[in-house]
Amino acid sequence: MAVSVKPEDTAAILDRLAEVFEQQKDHLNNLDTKIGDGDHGLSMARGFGAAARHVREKFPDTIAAMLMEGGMQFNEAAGSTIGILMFSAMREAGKAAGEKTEVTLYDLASMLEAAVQGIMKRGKAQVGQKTILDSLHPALHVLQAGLASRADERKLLADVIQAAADGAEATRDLKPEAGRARWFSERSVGQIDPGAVSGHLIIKTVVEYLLAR
Amino acid sequence: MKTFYNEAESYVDEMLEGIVAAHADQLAFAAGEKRAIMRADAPVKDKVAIVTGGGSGHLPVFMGYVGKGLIDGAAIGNVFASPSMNQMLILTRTVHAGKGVLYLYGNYGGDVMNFDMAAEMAEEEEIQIKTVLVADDVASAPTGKETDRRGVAGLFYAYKVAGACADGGADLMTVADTTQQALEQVRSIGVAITPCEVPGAGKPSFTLKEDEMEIGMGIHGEAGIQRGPRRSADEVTAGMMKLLLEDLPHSGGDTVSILVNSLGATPLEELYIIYRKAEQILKENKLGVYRPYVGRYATSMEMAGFSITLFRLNDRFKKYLDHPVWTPFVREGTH
Repeated sequence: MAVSVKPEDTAAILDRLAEVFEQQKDHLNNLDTKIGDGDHGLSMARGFGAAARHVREKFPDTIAAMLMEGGMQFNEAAGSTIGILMFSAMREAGKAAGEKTEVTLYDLASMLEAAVQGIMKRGKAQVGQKTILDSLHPALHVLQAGLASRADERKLLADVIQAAADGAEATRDLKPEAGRARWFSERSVGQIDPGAVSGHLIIKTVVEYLLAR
Repeated sequence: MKTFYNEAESYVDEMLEGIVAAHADQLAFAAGEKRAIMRADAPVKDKVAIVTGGGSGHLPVFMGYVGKGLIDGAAIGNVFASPSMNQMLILTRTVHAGKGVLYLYGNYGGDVMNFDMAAEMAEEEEIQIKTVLVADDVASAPTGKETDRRGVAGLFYAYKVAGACADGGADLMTVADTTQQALEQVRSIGVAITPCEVPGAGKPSFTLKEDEMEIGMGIHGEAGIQRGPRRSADEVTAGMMKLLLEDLPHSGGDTVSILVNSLGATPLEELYIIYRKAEQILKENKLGVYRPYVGRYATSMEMAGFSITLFRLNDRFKKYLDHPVWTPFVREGTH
């Protein structure tokens, strides 16, 4: 298989993300209630719902425009910390895609790297602080290493999902040091970070779309 | 939870429509943006504009303070969630009168990230922005880590000072510096006894046992510093005043303003019982009281509990507190 993503795939992936987060909304809210104020699932579902709707209606002609405009809609609908972080991530990923109308797995790695850096800059956060970065960053790392060693794409993509899942699971042992979650730090010990779970869901949804093609 | 609203999804929009309809002579949506409320007469000529914002669920924070003598506009998010960068940017453009815009809001991650990005975008459009964060909650971080603290009812004093200073014709830098200096003299602490429920969440954001209270709990249910058995009003007030006075530098003969604030469900009757004790303690510490405030100033929907805020005054800050204001929720003096 040779991965390629075009604008119509980008729209389809956003649709899929909107569906996945609508399904997972209550589950994510429940996780968030344990360590936060219980609205994380709602924010993610609203955000991707608005992004997907906008992209379907306006159908911007490049992947970059889809991500940047979709990100703005995500922020508009979800507000909050996750809203601005997802906007920053989608905007930076969009910029990394540039004017391309078709991107490869190498481009996707650059886009994910830009997204991770966008979240770090805007959120003033690092890996290991019990945030969405803790699932996105391991996935990026595995993807970059696999591409460098020319690993089999199908196997590599499965490993990327696993890295994100493992990263999310490992947040149970972390103490929150960024964002509002740090105010709930005692309650947070032993609990998985809902943002990291969302990071895993995003990686899984995108990669499964690629694998299904 | 027994409540009166239609749908969780429309909770905030319908609340804002109601506020603008009820106060149509004073408030308006900025450039048609349904999450940005401004003074109906904005932009106000020759005045630094003051913009605030944050999540819903804290009335009269934020819309209740939009008006003459206080702030020019507020961007409003979903319940307990920051508004978006773009909503802030639209509001900024609309209220800007050419003298720059002060972003004045509570220190919460989502709000900071969105406002910072809005500030970057506004500056690209040649609108000068200064940011002052309200971080008055002593329970949210220890002495020495003041900039990590959350912003709570001290917002009210921040708006009073910034609003009066801007009305006096000061430039952006002066309004920002003056407000920052005032905030260095402001401290708050809260206590909660029952939780609130974010519409659509289906359950309260935290639980406390019938006989429990939590001192220092934040206005979104953030963990406080001490969870324990409920005590009498006088004992709780004394404990909270002790924490405030330990943190706020002061000496005998100083004057403070005090704000006893309901988090939502706690009635005025109880607030006055608390005020009585708090004032006794101030007097025992040889502190004069100037312009006390008792009421609902910064809430957490139907949460039961209260907060106490102290603002150590000098002559200039006294004058700013005397400055008349005329907004939907606060009317002092004549305009």
